[in-house]
Amino acid sequence: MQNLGIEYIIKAFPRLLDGFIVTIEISVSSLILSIFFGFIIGVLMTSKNKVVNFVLRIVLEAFRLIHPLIWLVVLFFGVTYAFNIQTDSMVVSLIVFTLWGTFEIGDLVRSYITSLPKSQFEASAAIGLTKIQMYVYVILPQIIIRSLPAIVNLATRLIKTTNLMFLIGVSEIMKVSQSIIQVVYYNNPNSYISFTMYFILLLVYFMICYPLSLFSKYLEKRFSVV
Amino acid sequence: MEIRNSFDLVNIFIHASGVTIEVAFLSIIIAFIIGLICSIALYYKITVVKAIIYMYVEFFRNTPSLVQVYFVFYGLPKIFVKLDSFTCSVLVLSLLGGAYMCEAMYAGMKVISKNQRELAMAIGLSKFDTIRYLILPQTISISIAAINNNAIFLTKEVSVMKIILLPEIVYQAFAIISLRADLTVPIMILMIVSYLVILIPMSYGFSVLERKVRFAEFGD
Amino acid sequence: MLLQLKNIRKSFKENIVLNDVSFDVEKGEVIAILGRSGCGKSTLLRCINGLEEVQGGEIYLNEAMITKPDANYKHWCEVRKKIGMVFQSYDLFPHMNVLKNIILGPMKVEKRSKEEAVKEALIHLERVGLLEKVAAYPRELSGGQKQRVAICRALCMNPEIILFDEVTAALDPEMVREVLDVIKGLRDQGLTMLIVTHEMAFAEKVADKIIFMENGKIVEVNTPDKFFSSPNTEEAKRFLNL
Repeated sequence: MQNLGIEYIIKAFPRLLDGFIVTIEISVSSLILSIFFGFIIGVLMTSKNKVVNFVLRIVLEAFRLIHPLIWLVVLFFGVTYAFNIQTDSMVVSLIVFTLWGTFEIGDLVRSYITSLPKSQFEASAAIGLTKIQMYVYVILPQIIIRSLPAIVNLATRLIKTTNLMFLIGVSEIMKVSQSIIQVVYYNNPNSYISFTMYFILLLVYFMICYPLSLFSKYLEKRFSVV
Repeated sequence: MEIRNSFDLVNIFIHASGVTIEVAFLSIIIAFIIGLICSIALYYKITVVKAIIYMYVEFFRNTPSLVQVYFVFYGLPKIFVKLDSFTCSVLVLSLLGGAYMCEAMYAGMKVISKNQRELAMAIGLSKFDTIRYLILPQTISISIAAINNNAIFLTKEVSVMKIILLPEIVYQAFAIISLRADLTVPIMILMIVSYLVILIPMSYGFSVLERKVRFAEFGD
Repeated sequence: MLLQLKNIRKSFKENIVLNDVSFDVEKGEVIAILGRSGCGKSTLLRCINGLEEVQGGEIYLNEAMITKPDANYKHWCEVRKKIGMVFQSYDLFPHMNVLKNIILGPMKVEKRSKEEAVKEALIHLERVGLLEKVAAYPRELSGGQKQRVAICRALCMNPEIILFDEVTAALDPEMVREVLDVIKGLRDQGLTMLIVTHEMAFAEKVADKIIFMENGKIVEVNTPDKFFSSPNTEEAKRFLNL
């Protein structure tokens, strides 16, 4: 039992918590920024301007086809080398995950706007609302309601994917776990700690993401009536 | 590894892409089979099995693939067996993909009305034949878009396997950079290009497949 | 002269939908526009409040031309304060309750205070007999009730003229009656209205003037009793099966 290394994990709990907080920080910040920019991009994507549309679609596909991990690496190593500047890995992570989330939400918002019956736009126009008023009071509220399940879903995916940041050096929970394991092995080569640690991590992530996914399903059911 | 000229560099990435495609291909097929079996089991409502499958699906969908693969590669060997990075990658991706595929196919199955199943029973079709001729074709037709998306997702996820030393694209990129930092920019470009070369034809092929499958079923 | 249309021409790609349409509307007049499906009557209404662009001709509201060549969205917003419209598909905003649906326009477009808007909304709701539904959401209402709320929404903007675009076409027969009663009530209050409809009996009772269109042209203009008993033109006779 002692070989499982549980007491080491308990001792290292504060460090683990710190690492976990970093993960949550980046996930939540990316989510909030993504929602904000995503709606703007989504509205922009409905514009009739061919150039704007084309550019946005290319960026969207770029983030769809290429894993965020690759963008993390490209931005971190590529920018540092090419422009000879020091990049902060947390900043890079925030940028990559925000862009990813923004375009996911943007595409979602765009599809919701185009699927709204044209008559909602006309009825708003008929009572004299300006374009901005129409979007603020009539169109966007309906879209926000409809997109809530997908936003919760994105939150779950962000939490699962942000731990990749440790590969470019962010001290989040994976990095902390690894250093703890290394220390333990140094002192006690027969420890089973890697088994225990990763098992616990799986449980922790599950306990956060599972309720979120249930919440998303609940939201979906509730708002399908509207 | 020796890099004398750009041909060597490109060569490394070509081999890495090969590894990626291999792992992805195997994982997709196994995931598809797992998904099929699980969704059929769910559809026929075998209670105990249903609970197990539900737990399996939710577990793999709500935990990061990174931690899953670390657990299997570094954690399991302590009490179980040590796997090499290739097997480990395929194992984890198949299970992960299987969970997603199961969900996609089960959602498709739910759409097929209960009447059809009862009709099949009334005609005297065996359960096996019902599945084979009635339910499967319709399920695949309805869920094909989700199935394709899952396949592309699995292919992309192979990059995460870098951390267990699978010699795929991102792993090789890291390896070369640590030796020759001056090649950073070409490496970044090659990394992106390699994935695009794999994924763009894949994506195109899948949309053609999707259209064909849906046409066969819905005629549109 | 409240509204004047002069030589209106409109086409969709190569299709000519409105071909040299001209008529006048006096204050307090109720005009019913009749015709087969596709004759251009709905398009005509939508040109008047700017939902469709005209390619030729002018429209004047209170002697001022509203179809300016440089007309932008803002210009039409101003115009639409004076021209109200009720659609066939009612189009209430599903995420707002009845009251909010009605006061959105007055509050945001005319910048009236909430109390004022609410007071007026309640008066209109009572007139159409839906006062008890003031806090209900559109999904809880029947088609006829939704249409009556849509009429209140248009009325609350205090327009000088209201356009009705086949407002009973999507309703069950029982509900058609309640909506037509509301429109009759508005006529009695002296509201200027342009009504596109298929309900012949209703048009006969409520309109001061009938405009009959076919293939994008005005074929006949007449008073209701003369139009329905002995129209002047062959096309009208064919339309009414006389």
